[in-house]
Amino acid sequence: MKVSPRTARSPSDREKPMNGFFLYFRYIRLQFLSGVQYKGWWMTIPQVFLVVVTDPISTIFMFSRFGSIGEWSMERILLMYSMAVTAFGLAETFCRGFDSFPWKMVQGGEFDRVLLRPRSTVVQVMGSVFHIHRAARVVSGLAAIAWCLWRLQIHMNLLRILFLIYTLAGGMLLYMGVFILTSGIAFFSIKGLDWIYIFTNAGYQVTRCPMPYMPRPLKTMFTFLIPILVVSYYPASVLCGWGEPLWKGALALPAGLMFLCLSLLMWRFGVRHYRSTGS
Amino acid sequence: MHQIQLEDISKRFTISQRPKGKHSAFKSLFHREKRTVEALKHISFTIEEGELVGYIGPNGAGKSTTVKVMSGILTPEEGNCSILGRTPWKERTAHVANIGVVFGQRSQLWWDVPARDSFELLRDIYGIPRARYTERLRELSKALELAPLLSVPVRQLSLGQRMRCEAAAALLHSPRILFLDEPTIGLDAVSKLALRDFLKEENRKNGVTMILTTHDMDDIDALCTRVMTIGHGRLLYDGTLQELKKTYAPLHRIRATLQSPACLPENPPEGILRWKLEGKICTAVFDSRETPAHRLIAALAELLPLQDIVVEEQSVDEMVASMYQSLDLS
Repeated sequence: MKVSPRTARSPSDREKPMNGFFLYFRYIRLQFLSGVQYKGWWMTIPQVFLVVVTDPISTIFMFSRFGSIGEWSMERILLMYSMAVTAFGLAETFCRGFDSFPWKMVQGGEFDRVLLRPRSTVVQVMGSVFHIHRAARVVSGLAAIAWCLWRLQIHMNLLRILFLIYTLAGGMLLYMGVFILTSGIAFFSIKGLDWIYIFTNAGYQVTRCPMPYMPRPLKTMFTFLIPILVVSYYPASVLCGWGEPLWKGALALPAGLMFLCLSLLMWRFGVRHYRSTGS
Repeated sequence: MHQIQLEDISKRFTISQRPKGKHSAFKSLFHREKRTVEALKHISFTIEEGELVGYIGPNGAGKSTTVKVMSGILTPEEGNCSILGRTPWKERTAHVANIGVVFGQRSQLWWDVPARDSFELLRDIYGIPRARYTERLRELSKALELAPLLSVPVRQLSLGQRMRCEAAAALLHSPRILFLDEPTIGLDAVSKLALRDFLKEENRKNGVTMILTTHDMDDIDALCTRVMTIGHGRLLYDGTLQELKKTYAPLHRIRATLQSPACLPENPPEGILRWKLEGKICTAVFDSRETPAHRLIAALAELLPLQDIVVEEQSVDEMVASMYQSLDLS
């Protein structure tokens, strides 16, 4: 890194600190450099490629088995499923630090150092781990979405593309919320966190079940408690004109954002607990 | 106003333990006995800017807990703490921007990359302007001889080399206060001396307040003007090292080498508590609070053919051991 013109112009004593967003990418840069330090780092490239290629295979097999249920064609279900998977993958790519947080940072006592740095704990934990091959899920998810939309003969104009991005952003925020929530709970109990997988990995499996066939309690749970259907079924329906009104699909981003905010509250509560009980 | 002020700080931890008796492992699945441990009991002290304070005590006495409270990692149940006018656990980010912490047992550097990369990230974390960062890094590299270490991945550095980088990392943002938790643990003699010299110089030049926990009494001897002793969560002593020595290590030793073998008279001169002669070496123990050494030397010179004479203090380790014993800490 060379001296940027910005700082060259203002050699003042106090510089406005880099905002959290850029700081996060500085963390990621260092994680990336760490990975490249090891001989054979390039082995991860074929690895990533392999994951990208093989990840959708299980999905394809699964759907090729049961085909369509009434008007719920395989493409429709796969579309919702891949929207959820892509959102999950995006969250996993950027929030990997939270994914492994309870085991790595709380148990290892590394969280003390996070508290000793004058920056947001969320940014620091988010940036603490980064694996490029997590992005594989995103790539294969996007490919599956594109394929489904093509099969369903949906004409993708600019508006629809923007709507898709909007939805995925909402889904990403939702899953980031799920990771952060898990980590917040980890401050209280590290053991017995497995139930949280109901909401993470198992969470997007639920989108494989067509809405009309889903039991009501599940529908309620995944709409209002953890709004996974809000970021998959409703937007997909709006996108393809299956009959849901636009406003329901448009809830994707606000719902994801709200879930993330609630999780951040839980996180803050957890951090406070950590600081009062010791490590 | 004091730079650091602790008032009546108490900290309790709840630990769960296995119930005693038969089938305890099985019982503990359903019921755990909770026990409250008082890690700190009403700790109060003040520290002024630029002081070098040694914080000692046996393992588990509450040293690290105090450091954690002062650095904002832990919130105490009771008491007030004001550091640079702020309460650490209430204004975390503003507070930690002004302090540096070195843990001898834990690294803050990113393991797989050269220290320079870690330093650059720290620059961004603390928002140090580039010009000042470059200047400060040059200064620290010179003092700690970091130049050849900066481009080696941290995991490949020796412990001594790594500690030098850790010290630089903790001081990069020019903190006003530096906490050091066993900084010299595991270091070889040369690295220890180098680190001590550096800390002393940093304190002298930039007026950085330093609070140092250690088990190495030579650290205290070399660096600290003030010593605080903690045991069972209570502050037991707060004062100068000299005063501490006077209280807990009053006995000094005279070692005299004789010109020719001689016999010890039956009664030692007044003031000598015990003495013995082995070959040509005579050792005598006396209480420095009661008898000045020169009087004993004169008395010995009359009795024995002295060639050479040395007066020794008890080592600081002996002193601390006797202090822990007398305070019932060991």
